[in-house]
Amino acid sequence: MSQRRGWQVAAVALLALFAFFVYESLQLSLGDALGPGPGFFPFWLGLLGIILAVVLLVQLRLGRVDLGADVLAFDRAGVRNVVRVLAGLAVASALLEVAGFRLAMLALLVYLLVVLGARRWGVIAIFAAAGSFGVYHVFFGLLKVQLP
Amino acid sequence: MEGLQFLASGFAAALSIQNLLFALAGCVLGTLIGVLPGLGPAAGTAILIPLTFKLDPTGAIIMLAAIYYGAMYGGTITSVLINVPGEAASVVTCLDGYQMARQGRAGTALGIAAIGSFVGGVVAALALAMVAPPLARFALSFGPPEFFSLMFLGLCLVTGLAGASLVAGLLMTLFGLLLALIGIDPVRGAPRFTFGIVELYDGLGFVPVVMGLFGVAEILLTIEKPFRQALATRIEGLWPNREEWKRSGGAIGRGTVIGFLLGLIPGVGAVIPTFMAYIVEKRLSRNPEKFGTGVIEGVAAPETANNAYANASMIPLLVLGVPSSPTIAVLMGAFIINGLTPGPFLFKERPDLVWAVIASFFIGNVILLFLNLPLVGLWARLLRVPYQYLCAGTLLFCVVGAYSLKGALFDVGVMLVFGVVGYLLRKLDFPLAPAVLALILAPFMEKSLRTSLEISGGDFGIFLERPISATLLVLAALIVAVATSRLAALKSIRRGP
Repeated sequence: MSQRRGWQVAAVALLALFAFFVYESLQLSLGDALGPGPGFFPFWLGLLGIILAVVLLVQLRLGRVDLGADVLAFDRAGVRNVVRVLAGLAVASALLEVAGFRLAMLALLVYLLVVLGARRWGVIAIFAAAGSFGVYHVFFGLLKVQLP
Repeated sequence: MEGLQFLASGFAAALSIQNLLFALAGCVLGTLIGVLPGLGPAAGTAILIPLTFKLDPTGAIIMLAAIYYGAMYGGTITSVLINVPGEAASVVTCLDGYQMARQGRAGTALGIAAIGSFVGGVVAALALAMVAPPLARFALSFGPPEFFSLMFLGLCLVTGLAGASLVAGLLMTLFGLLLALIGIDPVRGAPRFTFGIVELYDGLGFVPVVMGLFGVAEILLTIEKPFRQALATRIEGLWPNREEWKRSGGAIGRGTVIGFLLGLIPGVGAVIPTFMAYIVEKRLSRNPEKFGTGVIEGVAAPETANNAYANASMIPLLVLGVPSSPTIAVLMGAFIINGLTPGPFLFKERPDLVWAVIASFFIGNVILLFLNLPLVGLWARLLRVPYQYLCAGTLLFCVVGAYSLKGALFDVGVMLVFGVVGYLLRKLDFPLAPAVLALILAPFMEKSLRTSLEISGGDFGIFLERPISATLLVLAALIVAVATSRLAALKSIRRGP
C-alpha cells in the first residue's frame, strides 16, 4: 500500500467520524436563552473537521502533501507478531476478572514471550512468575491498588 | 526575590525523607524509561501513574515530575550507545554521541551530557522560581475569554509545529477535542455520545488513551521492527579533559538559554530546542564540517537544552494550566486525578504543593547527576536485556495501569483500541501530539468558551474586545500563517527550482 493511499483511508475515516459527531450533536441542544447548549461545541468542531478532511483529500488528490515515504512499510512477519500480541492481550484482558490477575497475567506473559521468540524456559518461567505474582504483591499488597 | 523565599519553604517540604524517596524513585524509574528504547516519557509517565494512587498529592506529583525529567536524562544513553534515541528529544544527540562512542569516547559523551543536563536543569529550575510568582499573579487577572484564547494559542502552536501537513495536524487536534467531549456535558450535565454505556458517562479516560496511543503503539512498533543491541564499548573516562571543557562551556551556556526560553512557549515540544541548540553551535563553530563526526559540543548543547526545556516547560503548566507537550499533558492529567487544577489559582490555593514540587526539581537534578555519572555503566547494561522481556513487561504494566485507574476492564479495552489507532497513525506519520494536548485541554476550553459566550450573551466579539484575549488570538493567527508559509517553502525547496 502506498503512503498516499494510507492517508486517503485515514482522511475518509476521520471524515466519517466527524460526520457522525455532527449528526449526534444535532440530536442535542445547540443553544437556548441561557447560552450555548451541549451540542454547540461538538457540532462546530465536527463541521470544521468535515471541511478539513475534505481539504486533505483534495490536497492528496492534487499531490500537495509532502509525505515522508512513498511506501507504507509493513514487515509481514512483524505484523503477524503484532496481531498475535494484540490477540493475546485481548484474551488475557477478557479473562482478567474471570481467572484473576495472577493467572491471567502469568498466561499472558508466557504467551507473549513465546510469540516474540524467547526460548529459555527457565528465564520465561521466572519472568512470568515475577510479572504476575510479584507485580500483584507489589500493587495489591504494598500499594493497596485493587486488582482482581 | 519573593520566589526565593517561597522556594526555601518548598525545600523544607521536599527534603522530608518521604519526598526525597519519592524523588529518588521517580528519577530511577524515569531514567529506566529513558534508557529503554520503545518507551517514551509520555507513555512511561502514564503507565506509572497508578504507582502514585495511594500517595499524598505532593509526593505523587514530585514522583511523576521526577519520572519526566529522569526520562529526559536517560534518553541520552541509548542515543550514544546504539544510535536509537530513548525519547524524541534525544534524536539530535545521536549525530555526534554515537560517533563519539564508535571512537571509544562513549564515557565522555555520556559524562558531558549528564553535566550539561544538570546545569541546564538547575538554572531553568532557578529561573522558574523567579518567573513563576509574577507570572501567576498576572494570570490571575485572566477571565474565561483569556483562558480560552490562551488554550487556543497553545493548540495552534502544537498543530503548527506538528509535521508535514498543517491540515493533518488540525484534524488530529479536532479528533482529540471531540474524543474529550464524550461523557457528561460539564456545563449543563447532559450526557453526550455515551449511547447508554455507563462507563462512558465519565468520558474516555485520558490515561488509558495516552497509554494506548504512546505506550501500546510504541511497543507494537518495536515488535514489528525490533531495535538493535548495544554497541560493545567500554564506558570509561566520564570526565571531559581540559580542551573538551573549553569547547563545552559555551555550548552548555547557550543550550541552557535556548532550552529555557523555548520551554516558556506552550506547544513548542522537546525536539525543537535540542535541534536549535545544535544548529546554533554548528553556526558558531570554526569547524562546522566536523559536526556529525563526534564533536563534544554536538552532545553538550542539545542535552543541556533538552533538560533546561524540561524544567522550563513546567512554567506554562504550573502558571497557566497549559501543557507544552504530551508528557506534560500526562502530568496535567496526574494533577487532575489528584484533585488539583494546574494554573494561577494553584499558586494561591496550594502554594505548599507548588513550591515543594519546584524545590524537588533541584533535588531531582542532583539525584540524576549521581545516577547518571557513577552508575552509567549499570544503565548501559540494561540495553542488553532482550527486547522480548522489555516488551512483555511494558505491556503488563500497561494492563495494570489502565485497570487500576478505576478498577474497570473497560479502560483496558480503551487502551487496546487506542493502541491500534496509535500504531496505525504512527505508521502513517500522522502527528499525535496535537490530539493528546487537545484531549486534556478540551474540557477547560469548552467551559471557557461557553462561559464567555454566556457572559457576552452569545457575542463572539468578547474575545476580540478584551486586549489580552485579542493579542493571544492574533498570535495564534500569526502562528498558523507562519506554519502555512513554512510548509509551502519546504515544499518548493524539495521540488527544486
